[in-house]
Amino acid sequence: MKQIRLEQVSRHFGKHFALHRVDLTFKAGSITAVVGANGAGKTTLLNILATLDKPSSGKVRYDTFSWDSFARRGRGLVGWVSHAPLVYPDLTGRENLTFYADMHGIESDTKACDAWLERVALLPAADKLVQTYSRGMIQRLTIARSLLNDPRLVILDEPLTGLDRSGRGDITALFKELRDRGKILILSTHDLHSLAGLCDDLVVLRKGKVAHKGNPTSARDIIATYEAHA
Amino acid sequence: MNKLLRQTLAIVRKDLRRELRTREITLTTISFSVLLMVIFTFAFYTRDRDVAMIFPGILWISITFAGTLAVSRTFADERETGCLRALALIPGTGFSLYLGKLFTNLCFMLIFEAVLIPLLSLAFKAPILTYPAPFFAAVGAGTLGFTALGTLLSAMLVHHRLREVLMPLLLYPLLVPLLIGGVKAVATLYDPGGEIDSAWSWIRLMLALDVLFLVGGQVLFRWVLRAIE
Repeated sequence: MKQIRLEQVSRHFGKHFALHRVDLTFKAGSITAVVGANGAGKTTLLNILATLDKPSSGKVRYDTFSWDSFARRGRGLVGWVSHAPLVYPDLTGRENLTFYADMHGIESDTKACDAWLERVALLPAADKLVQTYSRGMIQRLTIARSLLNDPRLVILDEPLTGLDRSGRGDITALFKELRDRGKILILSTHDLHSLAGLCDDLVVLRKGKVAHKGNPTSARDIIATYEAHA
Repeated sequence: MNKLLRQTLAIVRKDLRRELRTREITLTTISFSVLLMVIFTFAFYTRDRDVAMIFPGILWISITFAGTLAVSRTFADERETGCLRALALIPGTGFSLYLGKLFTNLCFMLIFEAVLIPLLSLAFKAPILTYPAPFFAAVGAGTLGFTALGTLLSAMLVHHRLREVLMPLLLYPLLVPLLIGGVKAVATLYDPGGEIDSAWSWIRLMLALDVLFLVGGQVLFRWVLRAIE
């Protein structure tokens, strides 16, 4: 997948507009951060991109695919981290990943799962029940789950929640590696400091509209941009 | 391995493994069915010759009531963890999720029936082994149809606030033809004037309903999954 283009995309719930005439482009090999205050439309935008929510109007193009055809045929290309961890607490970390690997039809799933458990530093706790994990460990497992199927489009809603300093470093390095491999990464967060040196593009949403698009690099620029537009 | 089969087995394995750890469904359904059996024994047991009249009804009421407890929890895990959305993003789950949950529910149903049926048979002195083939065929056909329909309805109601109330309200009316078939088939076996051929006719009707529920459930589930994801 080379790019995703949104043209005049709106999503309303009754009379309330969660998104209003949004025009955006996301390119392969980039990390785009979507920021904004609560209720700005970040999660709605991410859900539409993940094909979990249909836009009320406007066009979403995944290369040449429309939203509808991508929702039918392209969902296997999406990796999705949401607010909820989307893992089973009564299973171990390894059992969770093996289950999702089987669902994706991944060959040699045990090896693939162990590789991901090692990548997110969960291998020592792989055989413990997820209900005994800390918030940060669950978040690492969630990220591993979302990347198991080698997705082209990675959608991350608050991906660094609960992670400690070293965990943030590991996961940030992983996101950069995915970007360098040509994936499209789109993330939303309230933690603006974590975006410095991570995101290539910044989109500020305000009341469902795009208030600003740019590519600030330093934490100071990002915070200033946010305060000026959010 | 075929992807559909692999996904279906993964769902069954996951649900059974989870149940093995928590024993939520098996314990509740077995306890409830034993409780029903005790109540029915005290309420209806009179003389041996009444078996043909009361045993079939009590058998199917017990299976239906205890089974409702099992099937209504079908997607509880996915609802509580939000995993339904993650599963919906995986291609092919429109088929495999229904089949996997159906097989899991069948396992739960067979486990509590393995406890319930011998107990009921002892309590009411019902000679279930006199005609084992038609008896177990009737129970199997009834269980399959009940599970096929219950699994679909459980998915439809997964996000509904009143799902526990709505489940029996929607399920039982749709089950009426299947239950009539089940009661008639089993009653024929214990009726002194009944003919085995007549029991098989009712079982064939139940199997036809099973096919209808299975095909309908599988076809409708894809739309249901889109609506509930």
